[in-house]
Amino acid sequence: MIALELSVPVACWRKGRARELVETEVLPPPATCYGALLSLVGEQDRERHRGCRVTAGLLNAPVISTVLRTFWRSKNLKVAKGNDENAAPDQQQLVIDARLVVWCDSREEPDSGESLEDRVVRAMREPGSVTRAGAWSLGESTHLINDARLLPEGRPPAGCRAFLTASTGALTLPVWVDHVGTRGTRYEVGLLEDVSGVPEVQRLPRIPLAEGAG
Amino acid sequence: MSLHVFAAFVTPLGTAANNRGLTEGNITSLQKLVWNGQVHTTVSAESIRFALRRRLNEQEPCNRTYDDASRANEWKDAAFSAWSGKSKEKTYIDDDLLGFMSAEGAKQEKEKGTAKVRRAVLEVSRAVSLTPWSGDVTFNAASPGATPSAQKKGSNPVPYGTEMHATRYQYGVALTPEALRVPARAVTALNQLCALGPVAGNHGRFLFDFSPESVVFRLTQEAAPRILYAFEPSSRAGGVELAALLRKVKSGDVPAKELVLGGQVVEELGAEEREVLSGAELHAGVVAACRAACKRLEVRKK
Repeated sequence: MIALELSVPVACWRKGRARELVETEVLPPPATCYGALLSLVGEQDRERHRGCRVTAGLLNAPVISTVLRTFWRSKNLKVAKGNDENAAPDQQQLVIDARLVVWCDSREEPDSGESLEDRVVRAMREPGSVTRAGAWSLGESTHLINDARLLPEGRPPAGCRAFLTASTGALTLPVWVDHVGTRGTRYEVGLLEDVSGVPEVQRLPRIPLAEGAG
Repeated sequence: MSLHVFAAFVTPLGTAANNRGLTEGNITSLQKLVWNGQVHTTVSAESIRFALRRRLNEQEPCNRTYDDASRANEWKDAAFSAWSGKSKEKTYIDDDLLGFMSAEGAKQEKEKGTAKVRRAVLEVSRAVSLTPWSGDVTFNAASPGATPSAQKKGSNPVPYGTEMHATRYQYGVALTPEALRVPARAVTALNQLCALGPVAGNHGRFLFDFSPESVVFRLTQEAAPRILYAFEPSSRAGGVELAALLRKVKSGDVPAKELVLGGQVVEELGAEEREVLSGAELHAGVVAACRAACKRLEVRKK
């Protein structure tokens, strides 16, 4: 198991069903972390590393601020994008100055070449060997990651609160998001737990295999 | 191997007011967030992108332009057809740099919708004030008849208040030139960001000059920029410094040779700080620093 220590100055880990008030989750869901790791290694096929286990832990207690912003939407297809009812102001929660650990374990990835874990290590140690494009963000694309450090043995630099699976947990976060409709979205139930060492692998949420696979 | 261009900008001192005004009663308020434990004002990335698009349109045609008279967006190619695989049409610079998304719902039950998406190659972060907001507010009265919508009855002046913040703003960008359809557009974008001018959000009365007073470029293969929000207020009133960035350079997290600095912040560097930055390019002006960063891109292309 490996981990990355990340700093994210401004972020919003939008709740899937949030509407007028764009609420944020307390920490990035496994699906968001998985996307960030794919971006780091330059992988554009999001199916590529399904089966790995990914989760995040908060090293600090970030402030949550609320701002007003204009959101575009498609209410009237006859009206040009961004005009009239196709744009409206909504409140959005922002997580300020989050310091995180993101864990990744590839043991249960179906054997298909270089694992996500190995690719992350390579991207951090030899960035010149990776072809990738665009800003590296955690959440919305403008919510950029600033600092990153590899923790090869997966041990957090300090105590943190991590999202770990628990059948009776009170927090439900997506592990796979269906962006066209919601039928394919999958969730894991868990809780925020104080962690000071390497978490137990089986309690890391798993990015589900495609339906019918494995 | 990908080369990323990261930049951190800080504006000159100015007075922000009425940015993307949200009226609360008769107060036009500034957007705010808590930064380093204190209330700071903020300007959205969308506002900065809006101002950049306006400048890009002066260089070459943009797909989306804003008509001030009708207060509406106008599109040359609202379907983004130039981006389809078979199209031989010329793509627009704003679509290339700033991306787009055009989604359409399913026409029938159980079918899937479609989406044409191009992720922005140039990402812009939210701007945050360099100093906390101390709560400055002015109270004013509009001339009788000047604001008919607020003038419910009679001809008395309409009172209103405005939150103000005398400060600088800082924000950052990230760009991977090779991901552009036309890589040379990266140079256009950097040049325009270094002369951005007014960022007005959605409100015509607000003007804050976002042409940077100082800039830090980092050209690197690393995915993490490590220079976002690098500017801090210095001990000299109104001055800025880069203490955290200097620590990162000193510790080896950021190689000095990947940095190009320009503007007032360079003028204020002491001998010891210049020593830490040895290997970085230091320029007295923002324009010179931008030129140097662009030159590095051109050298790499060759």
